[in-house]
Amino acid sequence: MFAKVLLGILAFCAVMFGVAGIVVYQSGILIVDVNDKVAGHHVYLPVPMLLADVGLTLMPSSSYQDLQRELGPHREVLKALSRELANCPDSTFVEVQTRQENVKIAKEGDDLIVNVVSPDANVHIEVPLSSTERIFSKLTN
Amino acid sequence: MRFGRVFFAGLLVLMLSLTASAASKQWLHVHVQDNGTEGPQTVKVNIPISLVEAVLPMVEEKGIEGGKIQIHEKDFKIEDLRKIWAALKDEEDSEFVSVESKDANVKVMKQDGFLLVRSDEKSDATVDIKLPLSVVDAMLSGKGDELNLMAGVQALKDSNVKDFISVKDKDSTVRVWIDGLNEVK
Repeated sequence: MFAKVLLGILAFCAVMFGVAGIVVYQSGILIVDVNDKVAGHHVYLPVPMLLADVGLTLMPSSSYQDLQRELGPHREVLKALSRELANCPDSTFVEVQTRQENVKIAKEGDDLIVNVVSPDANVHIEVPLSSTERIFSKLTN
Repeated sequence: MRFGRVFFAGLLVLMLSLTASAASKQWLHVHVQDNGTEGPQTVKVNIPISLVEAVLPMVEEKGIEGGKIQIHEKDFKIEDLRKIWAALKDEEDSEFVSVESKDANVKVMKQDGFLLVRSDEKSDATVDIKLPLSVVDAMLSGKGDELNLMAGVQALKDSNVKDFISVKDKDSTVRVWIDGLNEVK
């Protein structure tokens, strides 16, 4: 009997984690990956956009208004930018190649990807566009 | 009969929407290749015109507002350029300026609805700039010392001109053009 209850609880937890994982994945994950070759640091920061979305909803109204004020007219620009980029086909927007550095800004699927490879550091950033647009739409209201 | 009409109307709507979609999916390309002393350097930029049209009017930075850019140059004023252009644009096709330098002999002329900047065969550098007069008009449609960048982009998009800037010298190549492709071919 105890084993059955435990199994049930475990199954419930597995389903809940699975659903949570799917929801987080669907809402997009902002990834910042910086490999500082000089200092020898490596920072990998995955930020679920769901957290940002929920954070905005739960934020006290005074802080929310401060954030809106600080972003100012950039809110509209960023909203329009993310909406237009989300509607673009997969493309490489900017590509810079020099003897020592490579920079690439491209769209792959729903993500805007920024890659910088240089002697000092490698930077990889993935920005989920539809979630970004949703967040900036919220901030412009 | 009724089916035929509906089918025809549907086909017409489809064709119109496809045309509109094709027109809106134009891409601005900038390609710079430099083989100077610091080794080969390449810059490729591919931007959908729709992105420029959507974002440019909203950008509010120092000197840029509502798709217009303020130029504060001591040596020349946009207002003077506007006056010169107003005097020249209705003239017959002719050569306005000829500049002879060590690298290139460049001529600025008006020809068949275009403002052309071209180098001659003797020049080391090849310059080929072809701007529709409507683009120059649009760029100079601002007030005071401002260039109407937004109107210029729209005029350029509507002009159907593909290649409009091409500059080559022994070390570098610059090309700016518009087409329906989202990559450099």
